Amino acid sequence: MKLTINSEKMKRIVSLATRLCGSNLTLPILNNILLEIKQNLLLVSSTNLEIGLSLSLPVKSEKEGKITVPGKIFSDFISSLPKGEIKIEEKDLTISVKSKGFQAKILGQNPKEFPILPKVKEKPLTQIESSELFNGLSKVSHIISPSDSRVEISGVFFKTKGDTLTLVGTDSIRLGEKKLSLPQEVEKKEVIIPQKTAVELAYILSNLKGIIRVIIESSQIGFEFIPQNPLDPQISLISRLIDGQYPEYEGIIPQKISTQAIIDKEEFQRKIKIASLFSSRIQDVKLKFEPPKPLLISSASAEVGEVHSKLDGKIEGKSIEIVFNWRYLLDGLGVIDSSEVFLGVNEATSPTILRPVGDKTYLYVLMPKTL
Amino acid sequence: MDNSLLWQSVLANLEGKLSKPTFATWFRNTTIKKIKTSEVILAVPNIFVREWLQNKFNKELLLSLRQFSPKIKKIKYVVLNQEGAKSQKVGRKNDLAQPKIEFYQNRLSGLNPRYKFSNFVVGNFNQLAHACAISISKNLINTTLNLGNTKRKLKLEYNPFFIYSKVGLGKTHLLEAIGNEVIDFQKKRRVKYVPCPNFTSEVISNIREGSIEKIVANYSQFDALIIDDIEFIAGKERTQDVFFRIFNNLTEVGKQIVLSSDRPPRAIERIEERLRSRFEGGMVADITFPDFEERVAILEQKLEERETALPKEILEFIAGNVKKNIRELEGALTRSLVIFERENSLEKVRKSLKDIIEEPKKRISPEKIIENVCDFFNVPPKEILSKSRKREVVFPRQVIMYLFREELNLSLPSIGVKLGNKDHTTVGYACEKIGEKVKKDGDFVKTLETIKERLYNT
Repeated sequence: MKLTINSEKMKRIVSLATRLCGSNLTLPILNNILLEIKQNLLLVSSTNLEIGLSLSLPVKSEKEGKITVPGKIFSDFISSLPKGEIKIEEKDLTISVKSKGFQAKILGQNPKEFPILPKVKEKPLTQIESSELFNGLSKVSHIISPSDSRVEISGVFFKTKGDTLTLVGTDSIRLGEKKLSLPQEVEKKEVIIPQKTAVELAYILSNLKGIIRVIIESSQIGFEFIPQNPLDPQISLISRLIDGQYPEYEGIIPQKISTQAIIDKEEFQRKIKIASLFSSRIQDVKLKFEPPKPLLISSASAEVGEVHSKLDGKIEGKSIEIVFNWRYLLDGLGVIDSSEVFLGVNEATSPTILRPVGDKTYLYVLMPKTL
Repeated sequence: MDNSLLWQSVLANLEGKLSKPTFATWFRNTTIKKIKTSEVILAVPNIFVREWLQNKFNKELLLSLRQFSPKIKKIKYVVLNQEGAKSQKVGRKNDLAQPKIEFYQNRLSGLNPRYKFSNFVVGNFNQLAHACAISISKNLINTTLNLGNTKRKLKLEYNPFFIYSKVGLGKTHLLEAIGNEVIDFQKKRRVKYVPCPNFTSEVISNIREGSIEKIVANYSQFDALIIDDIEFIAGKERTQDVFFRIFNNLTEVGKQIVLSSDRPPRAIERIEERLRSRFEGGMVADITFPDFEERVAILEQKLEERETALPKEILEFIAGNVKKNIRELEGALTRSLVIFERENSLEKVRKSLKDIIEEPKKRISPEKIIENVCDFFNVPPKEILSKSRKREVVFPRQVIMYLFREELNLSLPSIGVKLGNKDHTTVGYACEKIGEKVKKDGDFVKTLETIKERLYNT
């Protein structure tokens, strides 16, 4: 194996691939990444046996071949190199990297030991802009908390129906739902993607432009990224799916709202943050609605003191006092893009809705605290 | 040769040839699911294992399989998820004061639809309670039909219905089954299930807001009110007060009340007399401990619900050792399932269950019992061992005999010997007498609890 490549490009794909290299003690080869040259294409792959990732780039190559190298050291080394061309050559399971004034030899391992990444065989179910999918995933995946007892909610619910893709995440205290529109009507599918997969996919897509093809097969899902810029890497990610039935979450989204407020998002965020400084250990802040008066936000703790603030807006409905965990409120507000938010409350003990104004595709449902 | 044995032999063959980590990574949790004439269907835990085995080991596996069963020509790999056996990071602790979004619970009634009569195992130990529950739910369903046109009070025979038993014997199941049965047949019926601690905190928050009337009115509108663990009401005077009013409002118009507790009404401490007498005025039923066959039946029922199976030996082993708590029975079953699936060996299951079964119950000695009881009743131990027939000595002596029998499981003659050569019939009489007293005398039950507490906690 012998090739020449721009160090910046190499850095990018190697650091993405290395993200899956954890510290796997039972199978040390999983801490490696696989480098392969085939028909002027450089392929970099890695896996943690839940997700398989491979990135490919066209390169100038003189000789085909493959090797696996320890991901962390290889990636750290490549990223500290100066800009410019680097030459990579493999000989007798050792890889040598030459750059301006640098020369390194890194010991590799036999590529035959490396796991074989599964491949998807079926036709893509649909395709979607990568930035859209990134947006959708990042709005729901942070809510999920890994749980052994409820595996079915430890992932992102991924549902296609008609021309809509719905993504849902919950940790059983709050729930986020994002709807994305697809270019055409597709077959109805419902799967649960592990949280780690969703997070990795969102990370990979965070600064790439292109389209993503989605392939769903029994017990696995594949995402294939085709870059807009042909010099960007093509990426294929394959992951296991969580076996289980996602709960019928629609039932908990309140249909009727008895008190509602349309308020400025940043002001609201800031006032919650201020209230959080005074909140007690259970992270409670109190919202008091007395329509049409401004919304009162307050918190108090025995150790610190108390704070009250007012927030003007369009407040309607009946008067109510409701308590939230400020962290969960901020989490919801943090992923809302609009300048104004809609807050819909029913009772002090039933789910509350938070959503952007003017955007019906995102919804954040939150359980209030009961004291 | 059966499938699991066949696969074990194949793996044993391979194990020597591979490094330990490789073997563990690729062959853990693989099983032969089925053999269809010439094709073996192999279940693997994930897609990576499937690829690896298919591409790297197919030939070897096939050769190995053919050694034992020559007609096999092909292996098909299928992914079977086994989430349970997977180790995942444990999530951060959920916020305690934050109610969860309950996907499965019926939000209005608070009932969990999982609890039904159909999955309730009936035996001698719970027959009475079950029969009453069935009759109550029937009554509730039928009376609804003519509720609209008659003004007569609904006549319900078992009101309130009071179930008591030790923990983990199915009270909650039975309680919720009544509610679910009624709701399933009569959607309009307003049934409310609430655990007593929740009820109490609701009352407290209403007191704070000064809206006691609201909660009374709110609860008085139900057709059936089910309160679990009512003993928690003890000592909470305001809650008792509110509950008393709700109770009267409901019973006046013939609405059903169902209660559960871990002890009979008379043994609940610090509860107003008027409430206690009302609890006793209805139907009181207890659930005792299931016997061996019933425990096996319960385990089989649980397996059926989970659509799995375990060898009879394991079930009998569990049933033979976990005797006093159905919840623990289920815990042991779950554990056996996981271990059996992973290790596929009876011995391993047995070994792992020992940890749960042989709970390090604090050993108490006969001397300690004597010492404690004497201390409690303020009599010198010498007197107990003597032939004295004074009342203040005889009663503690009988209590000691009872505790020897119940807590240490000693034989009647040996108890006699230990207490100054008393006759075994004397001991038998004492145990019987105290046993009767336990059933009838709530105050005495409290006394006994205190003694036991001291016994085990010092």
